[in-house]
This record gives sequence, C-alpha cells and structure tokens, in this order.
Amino acid sequence: MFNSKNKPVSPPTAATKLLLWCVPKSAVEYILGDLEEEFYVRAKHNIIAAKYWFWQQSMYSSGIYLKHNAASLDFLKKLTVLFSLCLFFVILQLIIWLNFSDSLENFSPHFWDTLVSGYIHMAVFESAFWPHSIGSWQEINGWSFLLDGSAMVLTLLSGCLFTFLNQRRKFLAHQIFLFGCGAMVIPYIFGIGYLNAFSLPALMVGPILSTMLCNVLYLLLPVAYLVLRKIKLQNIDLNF
Amino acid sequence: MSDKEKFLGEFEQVVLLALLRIGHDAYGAEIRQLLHEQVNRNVAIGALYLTLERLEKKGMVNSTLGESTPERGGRAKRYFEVTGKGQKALSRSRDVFNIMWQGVTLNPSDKLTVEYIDV
Repeated sequence: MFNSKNKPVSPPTAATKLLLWCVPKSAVEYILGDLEEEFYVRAKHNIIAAKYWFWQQSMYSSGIYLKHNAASLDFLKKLTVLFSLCLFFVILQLIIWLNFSDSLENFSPHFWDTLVSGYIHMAVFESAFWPHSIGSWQEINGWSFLLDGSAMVLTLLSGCLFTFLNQRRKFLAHQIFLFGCGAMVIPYIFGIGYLNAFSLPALMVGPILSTMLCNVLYLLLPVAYLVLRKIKLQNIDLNF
Repeated sequence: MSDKEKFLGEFEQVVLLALLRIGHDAYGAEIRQLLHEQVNRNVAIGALYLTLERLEKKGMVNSTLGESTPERGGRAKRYFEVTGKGQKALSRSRDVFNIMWQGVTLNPSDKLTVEYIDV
C-alpha cells in the first residue's frame, strides 16, 4: 500500500517499538498482527487517522500490559527474591562495617556528619565503603554483634501486629509485601528523625543505628518467606 | 453455587458472547471490531487479550495459533473459542441477572424503582 507521494504506508515505527518493549514476547506477535491488519484497512480511508489510531492503541495496550506485569504474582515473586537477597546483603555489610571498621579513611569529608544524622544508607554510595566493609569480614570472631534487643522487640511487635491484622482480614501477597516494607522503613525513618531532632553524642548514635539496621535484617527473610508462600497459595487458587 | 465458581465480570461476559457470535476462528481484531460495531465499545487490543488470557487460565476459552498472512505483516493470528466451562459460566451469569432483574422497573426519568414481590 502506498500514500499520495507513492511511499509505502506502514504503521508508526516508534509505536511498534513501544509495543515490542512493553508487551510480553508471547503476546506481541498476534497483538501487532491484529493492529497492523486493522491499520491497513483504516489507512485506505485516512492515513493520518489510521496512524493516530495505531498510536492510541499501542499506548493504551502498552500501559495496560505494564500495569498488569507490575501487579502480577510472577513479577512480585522475582521482586521479592531479588529485593530481599540484595537488601539482606547490603544491611549485613553495613552492620559488619559499623561494628568492625574504625576509620573513615578515604570517605568524603562530611560523611561523619551524615552518619551521626542517621543516614547510614548513604555509606553504600561512598566508594571507600565496599573495600572497607568487605575487608571487615576478616575481623569477625563471632556473630553476637547481630543481636540487638530493641530491634528484636520491634520485630516482635511487627510480627504480632501482622498476625492480628491477618486474622481479621486475610492479606494478599501484595499486601504482605507492603506491610513488610512499612515495618522495615517506618522505624528506620523514625530513627533518622530522632537522631536529627536530638543531635545525640556519637557514642549514643551507634546503638540507634544498630537497631534501625537490625530491625530490617530480622524482618527481611521472614517477610520474603511469607510473601512467597502466599504467592504459591494464590497461584494454586487461580488454577482451580 | 460452590465457592470455587466465581462470577464473570461484565467485560468477560461481553467477550465470551462476542466469541460465541463469531463462532470458530474468532481472533483479536475481529472481536474488537464486533464490540465496536455492536455495543459501541472501542477497547484497546491489549485489554482484550489480557481478558482472553485470564479467561483461558480459568479454562473458559481455548486458543490456537493460526497462520501468518501478508496483510498482518507476516504475523500469526491467535484464534479463540468458548469451552463448555465458559458456556456454563455465561449461562449462570444470565440466570443471576434474570433473577435480579425480576421486580425491577426503570422509569423514563432514570430513577430506579423496585417492586417488592413475594418469593
């Protein structure tokens, strides 16, 4: 098919690319086929309107598939596994570094202020952090530094709240994931706020940072387990 | 009705009915056009396929991959047909609506009135 300037008419390339990026490979073949088929029928009457229609369809369809994929159980499963493993490793590195590293050599000049303000996570963006923290593994002579009483109480409270809410209204996998994120993030943000509000001496900052990090560490794997178990149950339910 | 028998959504019912109207060899573009012509509903092809995939997971439709044609840029069609389970679900939905519509009359000013009847 050709337009008035005798150039071949084809669907907008960018719109086609958008679909190729957003729609799963298993579905893109027949979705693009259907759209192209209807595009050529429409282009016989009005090429501009046909292109507009193709863009409209590809944008809506891409949006729908992106939203669907983000909400799908498979995506949540991958996100949970990746998120929990990566975060567990990073938090463990931070705790080990806090306990066994005694210098801020090669860190940026204002890093100490950042640290005592509670922004401990900023350490991972420091180039000196990773060699320091990985080197700190050699210093470990026992794992008792991972025990933090306040963090254990916080984790226990989160567990009790979860059990209570879950009995009243059975949580779905997405809701467990969000609850877990909240239980990890809220005490962490509260810790940062507390340290900023009271400007405590450095000796008192350490235990608070430890509680903030250990609470996340204790919750990560149980939350991931609960989410994955719920995904499995929901999948079984879907197959019936 | 057992707890496992879920109700069909409105769009799912419309899609299943479109498949039954077209009969064999119903595919995305054809279903989309039928919905546009018959019920003036201009759906995104992505929304239609997601619904069809969901119905297929529930065992209410079957699909087969068809031949590729030049007018589709050499891409294959995916044909759908309603299964027995899908037809039962549709019939159940119709029965539910028939029961719920009994005694309900809509007056011209769009206000809903309900006549209470002895059951």
